[in-house]
Amino acid sequence: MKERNKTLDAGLRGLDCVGKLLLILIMAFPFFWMISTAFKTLAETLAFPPTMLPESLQWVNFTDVFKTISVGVYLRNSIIVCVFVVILQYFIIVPAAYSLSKYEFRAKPAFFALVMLGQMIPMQITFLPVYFMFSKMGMMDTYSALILPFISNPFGIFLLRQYFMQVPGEVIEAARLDNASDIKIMFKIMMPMAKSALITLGLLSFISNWNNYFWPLIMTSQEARRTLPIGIALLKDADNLQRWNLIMAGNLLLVLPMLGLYIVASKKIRNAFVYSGIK
Amino acid sequence: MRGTTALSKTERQERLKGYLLAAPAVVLLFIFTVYPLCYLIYRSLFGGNLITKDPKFVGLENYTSLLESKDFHQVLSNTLIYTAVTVVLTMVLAVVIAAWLNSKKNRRLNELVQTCIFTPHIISMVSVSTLFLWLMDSKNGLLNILLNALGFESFPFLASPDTALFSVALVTIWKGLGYYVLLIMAALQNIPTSVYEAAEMDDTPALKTFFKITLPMISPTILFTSVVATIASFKVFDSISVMTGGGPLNSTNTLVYYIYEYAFRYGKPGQACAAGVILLVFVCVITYVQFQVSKTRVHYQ
Repeated sequence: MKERNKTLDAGLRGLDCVGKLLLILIMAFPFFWMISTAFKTLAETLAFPPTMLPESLQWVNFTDVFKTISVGVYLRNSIIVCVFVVILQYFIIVPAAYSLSKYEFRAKPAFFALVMLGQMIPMQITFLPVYFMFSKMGMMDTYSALILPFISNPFGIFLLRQYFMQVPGEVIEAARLDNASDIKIMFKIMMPMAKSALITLGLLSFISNWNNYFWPLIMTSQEARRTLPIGIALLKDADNLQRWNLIMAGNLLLVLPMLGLYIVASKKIRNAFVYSGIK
Repeated sequence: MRGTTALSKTERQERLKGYLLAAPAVVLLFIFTVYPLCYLIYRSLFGGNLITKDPKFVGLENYTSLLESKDFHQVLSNTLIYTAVTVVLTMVLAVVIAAWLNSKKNRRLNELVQTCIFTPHIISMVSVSTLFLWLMDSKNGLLNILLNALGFESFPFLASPDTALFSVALVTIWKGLGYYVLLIMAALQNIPTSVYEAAEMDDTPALKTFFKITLPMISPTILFTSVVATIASFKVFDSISVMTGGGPLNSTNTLVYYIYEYAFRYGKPGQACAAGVILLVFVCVITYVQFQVSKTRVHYQ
């Protein structure tokens, strides 16, 4: 009887293992296929039966991508937008969260409601009015149009407020008695206490801005201000021949930074998303 | 006397500081949330095109023409079907996989599965969409080659109006699954082990334990994540824009894509804004549900 249980157990274990390997295959294989295709010749992508690995690595695909679309410009714009959003948002959300957690004023509930509203309303609803506003002000195709709407990150204010509320009032009182200014208190006391939240927010907004397609699609029409996701979508459309090896090579340029970041800090990134999901 | 005025002075200063610190965020939130919402509703009552200086007031005409349009009916039903398929399949798969990964078998493998399954979530939807365009390609796509090799007939995926919406939903599910698995696993790990002890002593079968103990314990999280997934589905745009452009035959045209096309391709911002208001109503209803859900969540704890 015990013997049989053991074999049953081993069998179940094996089945469990096979199932999980299959799951890994389903999630990882498309990425492998993207990388493999990116290094193939056009003939190889059309070959039947398909080959798993390219016969020789076609680095020329990447130079062809640079010839077809202005990767350099897109890449520069993507980096500028991401860096500015990540840095500037702290200047907005840290004081706001500090005010919400440590100050008393009559409009505070209204301010808090405003933050909640900002968190609730997606940009897919507000984009048309913002587009009208920016085009009236001549701000289309500017970095400001790509950066400003993202720096008052309401979720960031909400999360930081929770952290700041845990800082005991006595600590702040003591600092005030030492004649520390509010700016000093924010930098020297509040921000170190919320370090993990600040890193989380930076990571999340970097990832979402790097991947953002919708907003730059609406706000830009000139090459000079387009970001990489737009570039890759254009590459797909620009290529009537459907040279999938080229398209996948371009795609890889957009994917690799995120994949690299994920390989380096996979646990940290997942924790950041759990944070943001549960609140 | 002097003491109280001095106090009220610092109090006043205190209050002023509170306002000053919040001011930049308040201004930005006003410009990018409150004002656009008001303008959206206001603009939905006017006609004209993108360059008209003084559009004509038309009252509710934009709404009535939307509600009478067959295209818009299809857009609404597309959006609702897409949402239902995506949310139901994602949640069922996420709960099953999360419970599976939470079991004690093959622990080392579990970590790897978790890492892999979450990867697509941080990749741009543009990349994922182009990748699946290639995989679902009717001539040389790997998915059909695989189906044929296994003895099945080719599946039309994005080429046929009958399957395109489902194919787009499939891509969304593949991309988002890991995120929901992660959230549900976090909920599973928060269930105190003491809850299971009684069941273990009674030798209750695993399946019964799952349905009678585990599922009720994580049901608040399931409801909450369903709401998140529902709102995300209402907002779908990137995959539609990259993979199908709303086609074939309008079969994948969803609300946000419709708004975008009506404003920028057909130059009818009034009608686009009216459709935007309808999306706003959807999101408000779902958020109200979320609010009720979070109330019951408090109940459970």
